[in-house]
Amino acid sequence: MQRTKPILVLAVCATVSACDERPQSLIICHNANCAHETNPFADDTLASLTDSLELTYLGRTTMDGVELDTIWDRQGARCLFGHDFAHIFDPAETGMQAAELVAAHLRKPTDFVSWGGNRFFVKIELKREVTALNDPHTEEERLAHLACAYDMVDVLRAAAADASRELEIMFESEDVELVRGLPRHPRWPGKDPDDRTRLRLIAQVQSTELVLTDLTSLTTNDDDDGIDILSFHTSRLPDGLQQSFYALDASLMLWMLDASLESLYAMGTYHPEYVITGEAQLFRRWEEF
Amino acid sequence: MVVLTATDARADDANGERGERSWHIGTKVTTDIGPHRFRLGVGAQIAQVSVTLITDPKVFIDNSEQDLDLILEWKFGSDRWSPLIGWRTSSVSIDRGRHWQQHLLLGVSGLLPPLLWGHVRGQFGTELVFTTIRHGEGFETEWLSVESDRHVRDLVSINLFLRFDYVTPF
Repeated sequence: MQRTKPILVLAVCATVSACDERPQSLIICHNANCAHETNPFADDTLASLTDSLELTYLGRTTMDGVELDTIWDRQGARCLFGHDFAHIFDPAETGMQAAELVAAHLRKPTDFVSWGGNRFFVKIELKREVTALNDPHTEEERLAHLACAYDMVDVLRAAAADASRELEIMFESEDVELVRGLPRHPRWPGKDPDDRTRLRLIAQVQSTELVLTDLTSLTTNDDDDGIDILSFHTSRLPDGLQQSFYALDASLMLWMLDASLESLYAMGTYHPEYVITGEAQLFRRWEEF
Repeated sequence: MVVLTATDARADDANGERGERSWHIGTKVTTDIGPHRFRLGVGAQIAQVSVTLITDPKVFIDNSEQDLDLILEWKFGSDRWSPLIGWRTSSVSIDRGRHWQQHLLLGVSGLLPPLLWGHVRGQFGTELVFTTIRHGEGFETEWLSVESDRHVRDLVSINLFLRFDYVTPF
């Protein structure tokens, strides 16, 4: 009888350990700034991007990919690399400079260009405002901003081709119509332009511009020009609503400003395909536990 | 009449309205998705001050996430409402170590009508959780910064809770 208790304890522990198997989401570096302690003022700078790309854990690149924010600057008629107009450096850094840094990373002679090895992910966000007063794009500016995104795509694809990397490029904007404009642009290469590249479109779940027909592309591969991924922030949505989106069985992307216990709860509960975090090292070590 | 008086006395004991010394043990259910939602608490009340330790009993067999709250409540005025202040230490297991988060809790709780003939005290309340310090092996220690909305937004949450405690005087 006395031997029964340790066996029972072991059985319970084994069960609990099995339940604690961590999800393996793809870790994307939020705002190209995930190498140091969280500081939103350092988001989307070439310096933070350089440090983030060099971040390693156990000899491998920590991240699976990186997020690059682009802003169309009405005053200078140029495509900037930055999070918002309040934090644009002088001289301003451009989206193309950020893409070239990532391209150089893809060309490095390494087996681990990302944690997964040869496959790298880039998320390009197109900011909706074109001035510090949050003015929206004109039609001409919208086309110019989309062309900038495609210039970045060309640079990344060329590097991936040179180094035989697999590449996934995702596009997001708070203005879903900007994202919907990508497939309508003359330079749209399709979602699978070659056997090593994939393009995907993202919308935030709170967006009022999502429509019922988006369910087709979210839940099947039947719509080549539709939204592919839903992004969400766990503490800005009721838990029940998150469960509803999870039930859709769509690709989910969890994003956050800081790694909180709520973020870890969402990771374990909703198994997002992607996690956008400024704390790549913490999430890597959490996943590897 | 005697029975009614005895019941009222137990209800007073359960609600701690008479400022007597009592132990309490019970459960806390919260809308906060950070810690475990159902946890156990044990504590004591002396005069107008109540002290409670709250944790998830699963920590003894599962160390993937551990939370321990220390809550202080003051029963003043009508005795029905109590401001509370507390500290929560949380840690999660990661590869080659643990990551820690320290939280400041500020809130208020209100007494529900006593249950089970006055033996069980019910409380509802709300608490603000400030993730104040984050640290761990291999990480820079980060303090809550209020430099901008983006610095603080993910590190403060507001939650509701329910507590039910068995109360007995000592």
